[in-house]
Amino acid sequence: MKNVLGLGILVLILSFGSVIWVEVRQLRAVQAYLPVGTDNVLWSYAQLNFEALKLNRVLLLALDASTIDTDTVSLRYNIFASRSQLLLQSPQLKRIWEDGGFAPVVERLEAFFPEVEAGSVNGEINWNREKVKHALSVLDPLLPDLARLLLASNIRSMADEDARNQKLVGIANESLFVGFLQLILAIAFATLLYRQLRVARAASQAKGQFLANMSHEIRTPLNGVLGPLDLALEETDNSKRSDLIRIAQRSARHLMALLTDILDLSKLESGQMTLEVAGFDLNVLVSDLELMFRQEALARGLVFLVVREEGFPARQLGDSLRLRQILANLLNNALKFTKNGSVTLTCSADPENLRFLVADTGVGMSPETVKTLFRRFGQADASVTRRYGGSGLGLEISRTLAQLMEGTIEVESLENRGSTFTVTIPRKLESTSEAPLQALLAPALEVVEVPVVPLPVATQTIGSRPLTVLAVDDVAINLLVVSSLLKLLGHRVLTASSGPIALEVMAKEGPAVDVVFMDLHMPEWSGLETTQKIRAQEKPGHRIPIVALTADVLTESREACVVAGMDDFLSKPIQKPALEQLFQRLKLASGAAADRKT
Amino acid sequence: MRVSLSIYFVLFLAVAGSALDAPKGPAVVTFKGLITQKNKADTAVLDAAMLDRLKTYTVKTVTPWYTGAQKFEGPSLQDVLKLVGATGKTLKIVALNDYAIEVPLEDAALYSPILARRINGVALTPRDKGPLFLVYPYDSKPELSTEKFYARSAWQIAVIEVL
Repeated sequence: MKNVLGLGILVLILSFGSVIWVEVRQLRAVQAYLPVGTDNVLWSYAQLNFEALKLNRVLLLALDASTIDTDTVSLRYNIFASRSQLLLQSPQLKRIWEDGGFAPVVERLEAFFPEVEAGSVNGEINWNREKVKHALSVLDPLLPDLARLLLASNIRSMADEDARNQKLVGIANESLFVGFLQLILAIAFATLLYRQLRVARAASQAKGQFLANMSHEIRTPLNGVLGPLDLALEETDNSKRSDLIRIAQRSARHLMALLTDILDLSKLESGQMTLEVAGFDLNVLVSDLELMFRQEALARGLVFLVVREEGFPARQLGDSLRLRQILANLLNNALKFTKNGSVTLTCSADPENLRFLVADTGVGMSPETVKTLFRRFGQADASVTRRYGGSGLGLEISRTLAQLMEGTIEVESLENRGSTFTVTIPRKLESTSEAPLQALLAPALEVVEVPVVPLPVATQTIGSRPLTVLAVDDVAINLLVVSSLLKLLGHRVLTASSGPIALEVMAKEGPAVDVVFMDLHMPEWSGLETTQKIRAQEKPGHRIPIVALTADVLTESREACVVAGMDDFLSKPIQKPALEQLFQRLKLASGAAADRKT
Repeated sequence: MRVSLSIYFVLFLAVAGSALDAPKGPAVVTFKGLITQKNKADTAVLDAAMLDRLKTYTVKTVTPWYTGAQKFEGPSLQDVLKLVGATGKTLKIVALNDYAIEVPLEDAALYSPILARRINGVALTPRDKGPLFLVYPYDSKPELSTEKFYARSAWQIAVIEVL
C-alpha cells in the first residue's frame, strides 16, 4: 500500500515535470515564431504602391505645368527610391517577391532609377519636360505590376497569419491535453489517497476493536489469578488452598500465552521474526504433538487420531519450533471447537510439499466467518472470542509463519459439520552428506555437528550447585517473586531495591556473588547505568555475570544491555525452565553441560 | 543705459536658458507644439549645423529593414528634446511621405533612442531613410524587438509635434 502511494507521488511529480517541459517547448515555439525584427510587411508593399502613384501624379502635374516644381518632384522621387530600395534590403520583403516569382518586376523597378538618373550630375536630376516624360514612360507600365505585388504580399501575409494561428491552436491543444491529463492524474491520485484514508481508518478501527478485545482478554485471566489468590489467603485447609493456587497458576499461564502471542504478532508485523534453518526430525515433532494433545482430547471425551501416511519423510530443514507452534495452534483450536467426535492430524507428503491436515467434527464456520478468519485484527465475531477464549491471534500468527516458510494454510469448513485446516510447507532437505553420515565422521573432521532434535525442553530440574544471587529491582513484589523462586531452587538471594544499594552490596559482598539479576527500569540509576558502575569498580579477572531482567522484551533493549556490559537476558515473568536454561548458558549449573543429553 | 540693457539681456538668458539660434541652413526637422525654445514663429526649426553641435551617439543593432546588424549614428532624442524644451507627453512624428506615428515622450529616457543621421558612416538621405531616422537599440531589450517599436521607428522625419 505504501508503495502504491509512493508510486502515485512519483507519477505526479513526473507529470508536473512533463508539464513544465511541454511549456518550455511551447515558449520556444512561440519565440521561434516571433523572430527578431518582424515589421508589417503588407504596410511596406502598400507604401511602395502609394509612393509610385504619388510620383506618377506629381510627374503628370509637372507635364501640364508651365514651370516644373523641381523640389516637389525630387522629394517624391527620393521617397519612392527609398521605398524601392527596401525591397532589396529587407530579408522579409525579399522573401515575398522572391517566393512569388516577382524577381523580373523588381529588376525592372530597380532599373528605373539609373535610367532616370542617366546624365545627371552629383545625383542632382535636372527635371525638365523631357526627363519627366521619360520617367513617366518607364514608371507607367510598372504600376500594374506593383499592384499585383501588393496583392501577392497580402495573400502571403494572410497565409503566414493562418500558419501562425494554426501553430497557436496546436500549442493551445497541447496545453489543453496536458491539463486534461493532469486533471485525470489528480483525480486518480485523490481517489487513491481517499482509498488509503479509508483503509487507514478501517485499520485504526480494527486496532481499536482489537485493543478492546485484548483488554477484555487480559482482564479475564487476571480475575482468574486474583480471585483464587484472594480466596487462598482466607483458606485454612491446605489441600483446598493448593487447588485455588493451581487455578490461579493456570490463569496466569493463560495470560502468559496470550502475551507471547501478542509479542509474536508484533514481531511478525515489524518483520523482526526470523526463522531458524536447521535439520530436524519430523517424527519427533509429530510424536510430541500427539503426546501434548492426547491428554486434553481424553479429558474432553474426544477421539484424537494421528495418521502418518506412507512417504511422510523423517527429516526436514527449517524451524521446528515454529512449525510446532502452527500445528499446536490448529490442534488447540480443533479441540476447543469440538464438543464430540474426533480430531485428526494427517501427515502426508509429495515430492515438493509436506502436508498436515487438521480435521475436526466441531461447530464449523459459515462462509462469512471463513472469509475473515485470517484477517489481520479481524475477529469475525467478538462473542466467539469471549465464548471460546484465546487471543484470536493464533490463526493470524500461524498463517504468517507458514508464509514465512513459503507455505500456506487453507481452510474448508461446514457449519455444524466441522473444519479442516491444511498446512502446506515446501519440502527442504538437508544437504545430502549431512546428518547421520557426518555424525560418524565428526571426530575426524573436528566438526561438532549438533544433531538437531528439538531440545528436550528442560522441564526436569537439572542439578545446580547453590548459588548466591543478587537481585536488583525497585518493585518489592518482583524481588519477592524472584527470591522465592530462587530459594525454591536452593539458591541464596541478596536483594537491592535500587542501583546505589546494589553497588554498595557488590562492594561488600562482591566475591561471594555468583550472578546479578538486574531490572532495567528503575528510578535513580537505570539497570544499564548500574551495570556500567558495577563493571567500573570490578577488579579485573572477577567479572560477575549480570543478567537483565525486564518486561521490556524488544530486541533494541537487548542490544543496549550487551553494550552496557550485561551477559544475558531474562524476560519477566521468570519461569523455572527459563531460569535453569540461563544457569546452563552461564555455566553455573554444576556438571550440567556434561549431563546434557544429545 | 548700455549697462542696463546688457543686464536685461543676461537676465533674459537666465530665464529662458540658452536661446535657440535662428537656422542658417535648410531645415532638417521642425518642432511644433509644447516647446519652450522657438526660433521661427511658433516652431523650432533645426538645421544640420545645430544638430552637429549635439553629442553623437552610436547604436549598433539588428533591424527588420536591413540584413544583419547596422551601425547608426546621431544625436539622442533626449538631447534634441532638451534643445527645443519639449514639455509634453507625446511626440507626433510626421515623415516626408506623411507617415505619422505617436511616440511617448518617456521613450527618450527609457530606451535611449537616437535620431540617426548616418548609417555605417554614410549620411542618410531621403533616398534612403534620411535625413532623420528614429532608431531604438532593439537588441538591448526584448520588448524593443516588437512591432510596436518598429512602428515607432519613423524614418524620413520632417516634423515632430510635441503634445
